[in-house]
Amino acid sequence: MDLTFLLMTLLKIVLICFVFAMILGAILTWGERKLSAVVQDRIGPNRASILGVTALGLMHPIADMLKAFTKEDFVPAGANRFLFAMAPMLAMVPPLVVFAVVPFGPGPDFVIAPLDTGVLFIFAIGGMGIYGATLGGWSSNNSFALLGSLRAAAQMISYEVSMGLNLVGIFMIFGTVSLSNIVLGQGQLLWGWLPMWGIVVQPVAFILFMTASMAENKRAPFDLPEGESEILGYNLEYSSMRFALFFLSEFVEIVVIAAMAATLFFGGWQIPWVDPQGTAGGWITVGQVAAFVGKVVFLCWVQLIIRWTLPRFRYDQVMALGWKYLLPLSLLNIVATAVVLAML
Amino acid sequence: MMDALTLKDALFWAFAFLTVGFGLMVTFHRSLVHAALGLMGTLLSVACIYGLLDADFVAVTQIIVYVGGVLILFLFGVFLTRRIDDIEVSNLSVNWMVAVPAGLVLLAVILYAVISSPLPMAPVDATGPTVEGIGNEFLSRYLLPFEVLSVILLAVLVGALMMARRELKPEERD
Amino acid sequence: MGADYLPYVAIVLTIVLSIGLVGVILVVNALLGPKDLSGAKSESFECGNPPADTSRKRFSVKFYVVAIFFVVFDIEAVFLFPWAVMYRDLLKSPVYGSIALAEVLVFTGVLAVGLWYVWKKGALDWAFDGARSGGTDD
Repeated sequence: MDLTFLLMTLLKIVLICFVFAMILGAILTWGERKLSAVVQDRIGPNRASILGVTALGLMHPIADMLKAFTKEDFVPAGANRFLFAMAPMLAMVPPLVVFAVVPFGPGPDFVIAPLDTGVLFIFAIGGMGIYGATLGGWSSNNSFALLGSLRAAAQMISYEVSMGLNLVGIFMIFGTVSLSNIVLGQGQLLWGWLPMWGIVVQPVAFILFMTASMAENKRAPFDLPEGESEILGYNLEYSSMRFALFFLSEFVEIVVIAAMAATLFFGGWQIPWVDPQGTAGGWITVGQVAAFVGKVVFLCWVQLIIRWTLPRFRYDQVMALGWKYLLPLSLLNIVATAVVLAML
Repeated sequence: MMDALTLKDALFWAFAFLTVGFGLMVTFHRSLVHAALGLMGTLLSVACIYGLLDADFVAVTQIIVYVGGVLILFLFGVFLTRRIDDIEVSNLSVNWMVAVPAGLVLLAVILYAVISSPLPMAPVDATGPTVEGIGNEFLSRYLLPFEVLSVILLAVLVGALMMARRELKPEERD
Repeated sequence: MGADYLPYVAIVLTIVLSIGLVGVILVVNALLGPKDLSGAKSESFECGNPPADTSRKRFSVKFYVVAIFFVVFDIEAVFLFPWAVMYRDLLKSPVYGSIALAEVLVFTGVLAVGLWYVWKKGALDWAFDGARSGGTDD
């Protein structure tokens, strides 16, 4: 425990949690609107400018932020003031903390805290996001917000089950729950040429994981708790930065899901066939970090395009998908992986 | 080295005080939802202590199962009760004549258990990834409990359904 | 006495800094934003209508039942994790390998039976009863 460690950790926290996760989340709010415009053959955000520079509308997140800062943080009558103020924090902090264990590059220099139980830590902390939605809706003293928060809680716990179970196959194959070691394991080659990425050895788990995690993030096609276009959600009574935190937490969670999927299924910082042990250093390491960031951005884009492609489910269909399809399929995936590994 | 030890000790004491503090909040806060939030603080502090003791898997499991699961169940239970605004009694006003002796007896039992047990200290080289060790134990010494656990969980599923069946059957839209 | 606990220090730092950042954001917002509470504004929002009824009411017991199911399968997942991590190592020995396989087949099998049971009993159905008997939903 010395000063260098402390300073390095602080630097990493600021760079990874605050700069990478939050800024990428903010850019994704722009990406979501721009992408929806492209999908719907519109122009999308293009007005906000700083000294005439619009940068394809990229100034809009900044304008949004300034606007949210200068609005009244109002509390409805009859609300539980303490919980009402706590809820946005409970929604925003877990997705930021999750980044502490994500390896951005080879070795311990590119991760804030190289935990042996990395994936489980993400489950544990990510699962706490439920409290933001639940307590936020409940404390608002509003019937619709309460309904939204109950739906959010039930939906999130339903999908968290399959999310945990469908990664068991990955743990079996790589024999570890540490994110760094899973990434190293994905540097191996199958039959001497095929990179052993998670998506190659566990394709079913990848689809189940993406479905479950998108449902847990409460985004369309699973946006029943919010239903931004017509139903009123758990964050109905929120305004100003408190609402913005709920909103931003959704986008930071997109980054979380993308980072998890990239790490578990797309080889993390691995560039296929190049330096699988991550010992090369120099420009190769820079390239590996860039590869990871590129994979994360790509998977964020995948989530956005899914959101703007698929129509919404009905609530009973959401619950049925979670319990009657994803959960049995996850169990089946575990058994199938176990049997195949035993026969090899 | 000395520096490291004292930092660890300081963290331990900090989390120990947090645990007790949140525990007091659970006991004495008049609102059930706040008490549930206090319970979350207690469980998280205990998880941090597990982490400090190098029991990383236990720490993470504590959060996954208790904070992510059981506490949600508690919250749902609180939300299920009618007129939650009126329930300001929490624990204070009911039957403290019975509660205080019962609490003292429980305290005595726990103290006896703590003092009389040898509390084995793990050798230093036993630290490191604990998940593998626990997995090994499941397959050798604790094979039967592991399987019995699945039957217990099955019983929970059936039991939950039995309890809720009366409520699930009729039209219960309210 | 190694540096095993340093990751935990880093995590505690991350948590503290994240809470701090979010707290600063909220405080700055409170300082910058106007304060103008009026009676109508603080009413709960139901699309402009006066609130029809209190929001503190009971909700369907189904939510509670789902939460119990969740805890059950959450525990199952947590117990599978250590097994999964050891599985490939155990397969190297023929005796323990088959025990490991049989163990998990029994474990997931029993819980699959449980899932099948609650499924058949209709605890996983969320459609309105009216919709189902009316035949509009299928």
